[in-house]
Amino acid sequence: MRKKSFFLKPTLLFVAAGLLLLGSTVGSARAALSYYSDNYSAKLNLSSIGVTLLENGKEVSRQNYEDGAVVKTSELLTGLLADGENLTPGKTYENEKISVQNSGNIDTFVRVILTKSWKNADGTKNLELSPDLIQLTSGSGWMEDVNASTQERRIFYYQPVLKAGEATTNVVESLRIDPSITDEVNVIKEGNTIKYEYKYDGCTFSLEAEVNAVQTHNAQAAIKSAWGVDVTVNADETQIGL
Amino acid sequence: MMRQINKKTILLAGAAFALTASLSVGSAAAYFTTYATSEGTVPVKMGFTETVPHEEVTNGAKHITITNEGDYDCFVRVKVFSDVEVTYAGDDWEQRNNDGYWYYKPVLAADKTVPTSELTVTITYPDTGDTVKDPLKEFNVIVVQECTPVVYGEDGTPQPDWDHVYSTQAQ
Repeated sequence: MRKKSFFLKPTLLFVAAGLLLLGSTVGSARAALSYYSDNYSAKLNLSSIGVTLLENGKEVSRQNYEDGAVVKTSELLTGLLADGENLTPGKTYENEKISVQNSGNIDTFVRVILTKSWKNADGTKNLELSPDLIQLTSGSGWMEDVNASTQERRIFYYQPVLKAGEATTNVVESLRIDPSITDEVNVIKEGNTIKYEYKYDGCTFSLEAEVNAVQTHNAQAAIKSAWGVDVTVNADETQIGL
Repeated sequence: MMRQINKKTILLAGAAFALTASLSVGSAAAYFTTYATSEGTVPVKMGFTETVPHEEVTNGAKHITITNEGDYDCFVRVKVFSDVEVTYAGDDWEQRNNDGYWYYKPVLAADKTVPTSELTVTITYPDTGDTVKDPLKEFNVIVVQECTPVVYGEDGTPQPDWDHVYSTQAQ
């Protein structure tokens, strides 16, 4: 009697184990089938920000998401004077126009910081000449932050939203050197001849333009965080003001 | 016991500070921003405006022309100092404000091959009562010519700035 029950149990257990083993094989076969089912692809359009600085409509510098760093393609002011032409103080140069293009795929708000300075002929900074003598005019749509601007630095905010792919109006429409730079002359006497030389002849003026771009979503906080300034933003986030 | 509490407080304060700092870093990095820069320089080679008067004396008159041999267009004017009476004649020349100067109206371009039109200064010999005028009698007629570089106004029109003049003198 004892022997009978001893053999029944292992037999039952063996059968159960066999069933379980078979069942597990079937399951894994199903899993393998689902693994080899059809593939589906989905294109993810990731948001990326980008900005390009334009001079007379041509790119001089940019930084898009894929660039990872500022890419400078040209210098400013290279086409201001024709070959052999001397700069004429007082003359308004209409061929110096700077604007900004949104080269990313999200809308942005942008601002431009223009920095002006003088250098002596030997390359040292000239502290006698005022950067105010380098006069710039700006186009419509740009608003200057006069409280943050100095003689050397001017900051302009583009009020409308800059949509992806579009360009602003000109933040610099023209450039002019104040003719008062010619007031200072050195008088050189050579016998009966008197020669005059401009004191600042050979000096160099430089212009630097920096464009900053920031997202339009939650613009007020984004601009405060990125640029450190308080701006007003309209309800639909299409216009900023100071 | 006191030592343990202080340690705990310091640790907690440190942790709170680190958390607060990490919070602010997190929010700053959350916005999409970018920038681009470029710069350029231009040398101001101004040169100078140099004008040269040319005089010729014929038939008791001085014929004055001026050339611009400098680097810039300019305006010119002439003043004559004389111990005898003189009269003036010349196209494109005019007197202004009775200041004694004769102004050349057009801009004198920086081109030494194109002088101004002629300003003729005729000398009127004084009537000394002599029956025969003394041809050897000397008269001083000094011509001072001044120039001022063209200054461009806000609208781009060329203007003179007679507060800044450069002069040469001929006798």
